[in-house]
Amino acid sequence: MKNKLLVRLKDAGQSREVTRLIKVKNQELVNLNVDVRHCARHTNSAITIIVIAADQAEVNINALVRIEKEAFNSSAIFKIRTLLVSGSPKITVEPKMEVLNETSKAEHGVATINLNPKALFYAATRGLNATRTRQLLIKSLTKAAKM
Amino acid sequence: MNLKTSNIYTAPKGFSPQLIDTISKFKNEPAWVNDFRKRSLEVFFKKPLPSFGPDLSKINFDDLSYYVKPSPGEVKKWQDVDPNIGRIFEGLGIPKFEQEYLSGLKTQLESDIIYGSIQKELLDKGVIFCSMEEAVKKHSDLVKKYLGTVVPIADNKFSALNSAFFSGGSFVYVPNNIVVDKPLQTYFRINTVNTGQFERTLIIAEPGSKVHYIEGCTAPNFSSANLHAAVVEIVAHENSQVRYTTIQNWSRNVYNLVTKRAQVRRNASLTWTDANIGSGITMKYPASYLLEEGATASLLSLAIADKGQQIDSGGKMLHLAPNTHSNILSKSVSLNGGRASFRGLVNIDQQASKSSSKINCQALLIDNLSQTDTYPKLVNASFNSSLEHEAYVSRLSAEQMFYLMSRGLSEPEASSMLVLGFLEPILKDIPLEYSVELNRLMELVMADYYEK
Repeated sequence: MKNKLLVRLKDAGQSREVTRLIKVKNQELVNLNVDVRHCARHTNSAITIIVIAADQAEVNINALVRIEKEAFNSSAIFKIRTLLVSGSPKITVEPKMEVLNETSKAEHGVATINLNPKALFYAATRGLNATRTRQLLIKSLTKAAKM
Repeated sequence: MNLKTSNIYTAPKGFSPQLIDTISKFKNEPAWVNDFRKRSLEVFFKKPLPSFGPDLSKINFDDLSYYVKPSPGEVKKWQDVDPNIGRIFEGLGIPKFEQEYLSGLKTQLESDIIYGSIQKELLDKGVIFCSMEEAVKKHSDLVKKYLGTVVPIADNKFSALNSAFFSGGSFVYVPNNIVVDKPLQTYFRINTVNTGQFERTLIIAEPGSKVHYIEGCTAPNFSSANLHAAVVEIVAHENSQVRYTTIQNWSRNVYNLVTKRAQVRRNASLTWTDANIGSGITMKYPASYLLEEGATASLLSLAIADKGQQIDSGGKMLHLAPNTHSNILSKSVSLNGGRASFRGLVNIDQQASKSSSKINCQALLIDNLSQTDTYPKLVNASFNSSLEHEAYVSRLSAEQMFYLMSRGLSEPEASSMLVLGFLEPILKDIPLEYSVELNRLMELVMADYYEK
């Protein structure tokens, strides 16, 4: 797994959309650095990172989204969705954001969630086994995060 | 308003263990306090300046006076306050405010509390609201038990500095199951140039009790720096409810470097409301340690960063027990080249199962000279807990501005209305009298902005 995600938007009108999925289990450790810079006007970025963690795995995400002074009318969206499946995984996220241009928009969102017990129960009543249910829920999370 | 006062004693600039002896002598305090101060000074010398946030390298610690005694001592009636000092607080409307809205009031000028009152019925119920000087003498056991346990001396350079030179501040003790209906308030004022104000506040809410504490801060503008390095320690015992509200409106020459922290025990709740409007540089991150099951904490943080201001504020929530819940709402406005930064930490520990935390940061960037940042750190080590964070930066909506101006409002009126609407979720949680003042202040700030 590449542990760096660099996005440089240097030309006016440039756009970049990235979705990255990180799956970790056992005692795996993943360190990811994300660096997104908007250096020109009318640039857009949409970065989504999905983390699915289980057991004693550890994920550290250090992210910076920066909109420079000259990046007029730019837009940055940065999302991290983390699903803690089982065991005692540890997730550390530092989603930094620096905005120097008042005509631009920036937003970031981080959600660390677990498998919804109600959804698990409902699927079980419809005849799905636990493994299949987990797979479906993970798939839906991945889809939702990409939207 | 810059009314001059003459102080009884102003310590020579710079610090030394001898100065600590002088302070202890003035305050006639027990030996253990003097020892606590001297240990703290040693820690201060060893600790580095913070490696993050605004540049503090321009603070000249040798050019500050660490103890300024403005009056012979605390009095209990406004008539007994030195008229020169009384005029300052009357100008700020404090005595009227006390009569109408408060259960108790302290006013601090420079290093000392100069006036204090508390309603008799609260005294009868065993509530203690006094200066730290009085507390270390009259309630020594309580102070000794808690002082430095929530914010240790070595927490950071400025907590060590405060521990060495603390003077003034309040001690609040609310016994079991006592509800303090109206807020207790302390008003802080720095009126002398090149001084440091190091008040220390300690609040103990016993099981089942309820209290709301408000602090307000102002200072006139000087050309050289003043330093305000306070420490606030709160212990919210089982089932207690504590609210701590700060309205900080220091002048632009003040470095406001404050450490605030609370321990929240079983099923207790703590609410920080932290409004930062003034000061040149502010670094303040009220922290809540959710130590036992069912503890909850929330933080409402408001920052206005105008020209020359750098407001680095935020908060910390540490979930260390199951079923603990926290909430942070931060709103900031940057204009005229000001910089507002949110810095936060939420840590859900492995044993904090079924806990949750929500953080919401919203920033308004008014012009291209200003900057806004968010620096959150989110750690979740409990697989059945949830943690949510969202942040966005936006500007005043051109459509809304157009609409309001088409209805006859001027540009400053329309923009201040939109800014106030943006801040409304926090303003509605601030006591009404302050909320009205903040509304007025924002109108002035926006009018001033458009005049330039």
